[in-house]
Amino acid sequence: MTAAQSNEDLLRRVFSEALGLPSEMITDTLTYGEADNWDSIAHMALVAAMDAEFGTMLEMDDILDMSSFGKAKEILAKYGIGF
Amino acid sequence: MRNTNACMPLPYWQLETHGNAPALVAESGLAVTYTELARLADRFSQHLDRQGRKSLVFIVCENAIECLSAYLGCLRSRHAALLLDGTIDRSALADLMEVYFPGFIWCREGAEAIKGQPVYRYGDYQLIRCTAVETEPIHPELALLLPTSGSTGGHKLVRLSYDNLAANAASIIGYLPIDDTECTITVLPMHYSYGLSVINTHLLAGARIVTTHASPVERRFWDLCRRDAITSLVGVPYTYDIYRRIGLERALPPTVRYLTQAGGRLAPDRVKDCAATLSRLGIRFYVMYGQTEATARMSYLPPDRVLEKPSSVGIPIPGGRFSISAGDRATVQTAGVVGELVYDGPNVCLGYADTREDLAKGDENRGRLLTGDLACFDEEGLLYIKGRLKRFIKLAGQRVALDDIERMLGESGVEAVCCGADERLYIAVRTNSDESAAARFVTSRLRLHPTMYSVVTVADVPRNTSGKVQYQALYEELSRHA
Repeated sequence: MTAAQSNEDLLRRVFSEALGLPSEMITDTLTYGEADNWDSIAHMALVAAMDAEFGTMLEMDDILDMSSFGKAKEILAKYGIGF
Repeated sequence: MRNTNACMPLPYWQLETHGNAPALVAESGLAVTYTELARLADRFSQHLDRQGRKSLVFIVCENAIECLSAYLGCLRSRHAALLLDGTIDRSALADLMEVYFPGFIWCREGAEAIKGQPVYRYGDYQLIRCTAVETEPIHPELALLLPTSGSTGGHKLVRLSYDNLAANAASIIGYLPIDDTECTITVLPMHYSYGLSVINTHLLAGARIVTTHASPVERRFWDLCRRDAITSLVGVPYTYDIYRRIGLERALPPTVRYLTQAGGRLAPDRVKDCAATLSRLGIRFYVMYGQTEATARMSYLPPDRVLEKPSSVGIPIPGGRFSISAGDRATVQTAGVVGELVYDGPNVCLGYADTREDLAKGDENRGRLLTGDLACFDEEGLLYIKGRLKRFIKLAGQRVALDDIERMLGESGVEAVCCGADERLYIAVRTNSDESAAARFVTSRLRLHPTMYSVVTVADVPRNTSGKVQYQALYEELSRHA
């Protein structure tokens, strides 16, 4: 398994746990406010879990822009985490 | 003492007072003036009349002009309104309808299959005239019903009068700097007493309110704050977690003058951090305390004291008075004595409702509220909340009655004991299958995020010799392992 694949799997697991959704529902188009359970409370849990899992400290712009799973990957890529 | 109407300003639902000043600003940027809002409210209420009888109207709320004008229409025409969470599930709504027999329901079109006839539409909302005829009368002074708990269902409601609503709004603008140059944005839902008090006070002052469904974790929310040059922002402890994590220095527009916090205890070090950050920005920070039973607010900490006394909830709002009920003694105001906090003021609700018949009741509290909170004063008379007598906690600012959760779990076949503290619910069960059933129930029915609760399988729940659950001991055990 490549690093990119394992990062994607890891992020999918973080999303699945924070949003309480099965991992097969975590696709690039999964969107804040539209996906079941992805509300502001879940969003903050997600940010905390991503920081813990990837060793990041996401900034204001990252948190406000992270509106989909696809977008989350783009944001982590800025911190050198490859997908 | 309660007949202080003579010195009270006109109530906030006398919208015409502010003429063509903007009242509400939608996400689209469309502004609605006070005159227009009055007209929309009256257009709504003209469809409520049932041969001159006072009706009960359920309003399934969102922070939008459709629901604000319906709410104001009820107040102006002296029909009683129950404000409900816009995300309420159908079974909970059906339960409430069976208990309270509303004459009308205001909700999104197509959202609910409610028996009745649509009689008015505005935006994508419709007013449904219910099939069941209201027979039980409603007290003439009953203005508003608010749920006592957040998502735990239950049908216990707080009964608020016209005087309660007018008095609390007038008192709040007596200590918060709200005038007609102010502009705020909806952070909290309008069916929640704190959220509603923000709306009521701004209407009273002739200020502007930006209505949005966006939350502070969305860029759109902060874009609106900037576009409309908001001057204040509010939040419950959980909202302050968001503010802290994203950083208020960068997020707040320069037009902001003050922030308020209520809806549960924010840890003193958090209060201090936030106050220090805001003070560097020249922004005042008001820590406040209240309950739905007191319409919304009972106390505030003057912002110049917050760095020095971050664990205090301050002094009573204008027109209110606190005392401590300590054991068998009469109420006292002596420093250091811990007891149940008692509040006297014109904003104390009429009482509770559990049934439709209760809506006919008058004022049972007579201006005095036993808060169920344990508190004490310091030498200066500043108030500190020390704990709760009643078995409830606050999760994301919403009250959650622990006994209600136990009962609801029991009804779904799960034997459980609940305990907790603010921002954390613990559910103790005996078997692994109950553990997964309880978790499913809490996530789906109560819609609590997994970070807010733990379900733990325990061999035994600690009980005293008479078999009563020792909740404190259970809490200590479960929180130690969490």
